[in-house]
Amino acid sequence: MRLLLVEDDEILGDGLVAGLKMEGYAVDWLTNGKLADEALKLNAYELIVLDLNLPDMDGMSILKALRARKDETPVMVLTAKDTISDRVLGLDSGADDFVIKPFELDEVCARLRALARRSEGRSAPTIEYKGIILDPASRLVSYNDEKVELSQKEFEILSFLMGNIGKVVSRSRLEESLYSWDSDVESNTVEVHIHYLRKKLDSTLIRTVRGVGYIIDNDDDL
Amino acid sequence: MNYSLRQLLLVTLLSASMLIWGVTAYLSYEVTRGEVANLFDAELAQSAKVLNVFVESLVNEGSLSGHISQEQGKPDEFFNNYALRHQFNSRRVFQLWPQDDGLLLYSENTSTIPINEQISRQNQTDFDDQLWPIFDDLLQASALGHKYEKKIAFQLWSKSNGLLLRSDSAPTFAFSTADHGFSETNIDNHIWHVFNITNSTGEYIIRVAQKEEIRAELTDEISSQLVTQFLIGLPILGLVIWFIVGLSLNPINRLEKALAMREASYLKPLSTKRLPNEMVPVVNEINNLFVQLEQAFEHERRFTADASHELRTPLAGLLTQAHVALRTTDEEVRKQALSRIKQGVNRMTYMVQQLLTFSRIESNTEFLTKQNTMVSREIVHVIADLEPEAHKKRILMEFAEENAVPVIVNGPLVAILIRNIIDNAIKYTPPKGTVLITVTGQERYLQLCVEDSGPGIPPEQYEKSLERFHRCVETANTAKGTGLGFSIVQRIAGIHNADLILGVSQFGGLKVTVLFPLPIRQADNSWQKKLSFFNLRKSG
Repeated sequence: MRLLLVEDDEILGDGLVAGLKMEGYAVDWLTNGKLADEALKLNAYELIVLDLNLPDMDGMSILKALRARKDETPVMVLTAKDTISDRVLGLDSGADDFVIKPFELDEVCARLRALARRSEGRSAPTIEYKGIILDPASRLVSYNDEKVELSQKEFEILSFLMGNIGKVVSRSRLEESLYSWDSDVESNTVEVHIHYLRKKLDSTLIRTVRGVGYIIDNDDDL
Repeated sequence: MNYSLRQLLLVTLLSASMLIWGVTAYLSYEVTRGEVANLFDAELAQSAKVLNVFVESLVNEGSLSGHISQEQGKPDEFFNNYALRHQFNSRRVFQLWPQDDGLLLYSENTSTIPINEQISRQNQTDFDDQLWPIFDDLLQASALGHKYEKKIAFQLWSKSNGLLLRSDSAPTFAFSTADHGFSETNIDNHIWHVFNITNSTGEYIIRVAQKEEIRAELTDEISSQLVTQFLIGLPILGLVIWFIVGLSLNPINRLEKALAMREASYLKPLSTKRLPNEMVPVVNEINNLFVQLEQAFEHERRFTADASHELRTPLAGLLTQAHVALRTTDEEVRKQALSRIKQGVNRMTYMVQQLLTFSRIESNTEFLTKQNTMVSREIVHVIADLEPEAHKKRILMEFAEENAVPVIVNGPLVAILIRNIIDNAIKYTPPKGTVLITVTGQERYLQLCVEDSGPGIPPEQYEKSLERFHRCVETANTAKGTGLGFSIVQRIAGIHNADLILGVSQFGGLKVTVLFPLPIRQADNSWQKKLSFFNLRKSG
């Protein structure tokens, strides 16, 4: 899952990048408000973690610009201001969640999972489909009540597809969600991961839409 | 020392009233006494003249001769009886004894009737008919029978025959040796005022006398009345003053209640409605104070908010890095996280130090004493401390002084100021840059200048960069400041009435100028003298 982190404090930003990477997110980190605004115009992110006190362009302006563009990407705001009026203002400006510094990394991760879940239109913490149970919190997948060992990238692809059941997800979108700017993308890795997923799970689960991407078909619609 | 305004006003007003009353009372007592004396003297004279007229008429008629001395016992006896009967209400008694007609007597009005009858029974002469109306008129004119009716004694002396007539109260010897006018005499420790008059023939002398006590009695009566009035009036006056003062002090009580009811944080201005004009400035001053307090509180609130804001972010960083270090399985990631934690702790330590410095400037009294200080000496100390750090970055640090004179400052505070400016310069100057520190004595101030070859601050951000916790955007990521340095510098400059000016340095970086005002000229001169003396000794 690709995530944009905008935080100007070097140590906090660095820590969040490391922590979120451990959770499997592909994290892009920016320290400048204006750059973040530009990046959001050009790239698609599943999640945004935004500090409010930023050089050049403050977090609230970025958030307002984002919502003005009809971009519904879930945004978690990090703030050092703990007054209720600040939080109300932030939520009214379009933030989906507020975390007050200092925070526990676990809490941020849990909240981010909840944000992702809600953005996919689910309320249950786990995704269940055709005997596959995917738990984003523990990053565990079981198939027909048997635990399935997945690599981090395989898990990401599966959770992305399961989060968008019935929709075609383009290959480039999957690549974006897997890799942040600093990692090298090999052109055939998505196919490799899909291949392994099909081997470990039901081979008919993920259907290839040639030239476009992949889809997990929604049988309920049939 | 505290005192009650109400009591003070009561005591002072009462004392003042008493004093003024006392003086007035004394003066009017004196005046009254004089007037009473005059009045009595006049009446004394009048009585004597009346008697004189009477005697003259008797002499004219030839009914008064000089041979009554052998009969003196008799009238006295009679008069004694009469006087005994009427002493209670007759203080003035006349005793007149013409030789031919026997006793001629008159006392006050109330007693005329029985005496008249007495006289009528004894003597039914025409003489009576002539005499009584005259007496009546005269005596009524002199208001006899009054409370203060005077005890008057009189003597009728014949030059050839001695005492012819006398009143009961009069002694048998002459009141006075004078033949005419006023005189005083002392008989048995009683002072008598005497008026002497000699008749036209010069044969008879009438001496009318009055005791001093009568006059004293009247003046005493008047003065005692005055005292009584005052003694009754005093408590009433006191009560009235107490009440009026209390009423006038009501606004103060209301103000006190309004202030007592306030919370320390409630600093809305007090209303000046319904307050006397005299108190409006006081309340206005209190309100001014409230405004200043409110500003100070706001300042503090903002500082705490800013400080907590500034502390939260690095704390969040530390916490996050700690989580990463605990959870990661990658040794490389853990190492980096731990080194980040160390870096963060160092940064926070510095920040806490700066915060403590900042709050100490406000509260610590050691920073309040100012004395003559050579700023260049402090600079040398600071440079010595910071040189290693500059050396790490291969920064060239230079110090030059010209006409350096001492200024009256707090040494430790100015050291903090210098340290912050130079520290800042070293932080923001890239490696192999230059930091130039100059101290120049000018006519009215001592100029401290720190120039660096760093990125500088755009002029439009000069004002903002002096705000607390402001970190310049362009440089925020390259140097790890706290955003407090310039606030500290500004505060210390403010304490010393020094001007803080930001500008562009000759190296294209930031130029920080602090202008310390020099002591007033006199002190300046004395210092120059001392210095020249020192220099002379040194050179000699």
